Amino acid sequence: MEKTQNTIDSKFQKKILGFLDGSLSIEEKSEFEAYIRTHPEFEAQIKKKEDELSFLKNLIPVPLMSKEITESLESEMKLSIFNLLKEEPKSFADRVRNSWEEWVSR
Amino acid sequence: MKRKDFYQLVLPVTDKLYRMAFRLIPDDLQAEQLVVDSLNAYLIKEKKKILAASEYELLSKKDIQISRRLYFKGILRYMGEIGCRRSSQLVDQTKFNQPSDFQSFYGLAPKVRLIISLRYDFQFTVDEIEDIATMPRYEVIEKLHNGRFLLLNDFNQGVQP
Repeated sequence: MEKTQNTIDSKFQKKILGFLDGSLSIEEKSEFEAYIRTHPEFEAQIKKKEDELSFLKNLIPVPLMSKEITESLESEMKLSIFNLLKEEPKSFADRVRNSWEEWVSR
Repeated sequence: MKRKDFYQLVLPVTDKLYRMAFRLIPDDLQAEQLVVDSLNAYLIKEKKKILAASEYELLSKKDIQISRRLYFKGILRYMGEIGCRRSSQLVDQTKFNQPSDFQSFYGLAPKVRLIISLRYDFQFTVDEIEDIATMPRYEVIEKLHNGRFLLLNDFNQGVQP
């Protein structure tokens, strides 16, 4: 009996990360949630895995942009958007508006 | 949508785009170039859709958030593809040195770095990652599992006396 219970616990233990990652299927998720409801002591194990995942963030670098890179990147992005997102002018008014926008964006 | 509207929507995610680019190619200039190239690829491919979208002034706060996330995901899709390929080529030609910090992270394969960042930094769901990384679900889960295991394992070995 105890052996069967251990097998069940181990089955759900393996699914904790999948549950936290949202990678379980709908059926597996429902089954997992039902198991938690009937086994409140299992929540401690979930909390432990959650803490482990929160800690994982510390192992991922967070590169920051220098002021020079920020300025250069923003101006390059602006240039790309204004060059590549050009609406084909349908009328003379469109052509004037495009030219005006280009002049303003300089 | 006008060009300035798109710029207004994309500008606030510039730092996130750069962060992802640097994780794929840890070099200031290369990362900057990767952001621009990914944006260009996205603009060329999605120009019609972007121009047909509602103007910024007509969007509610919630719509702005949704649109911004949509464009962010779109650009990331190209960044993942271009960045992983470029990163492998540059490593092969030893065009840049690996940073001395976060060696475990930079020691992971580019695709694993991409998936780990999308999940644990940008908090995308597995479904969204499948779409961004254009990878089948089993591969996303496999890379998440491997990346997580390698990072935590390296850390635990490092702290052991």
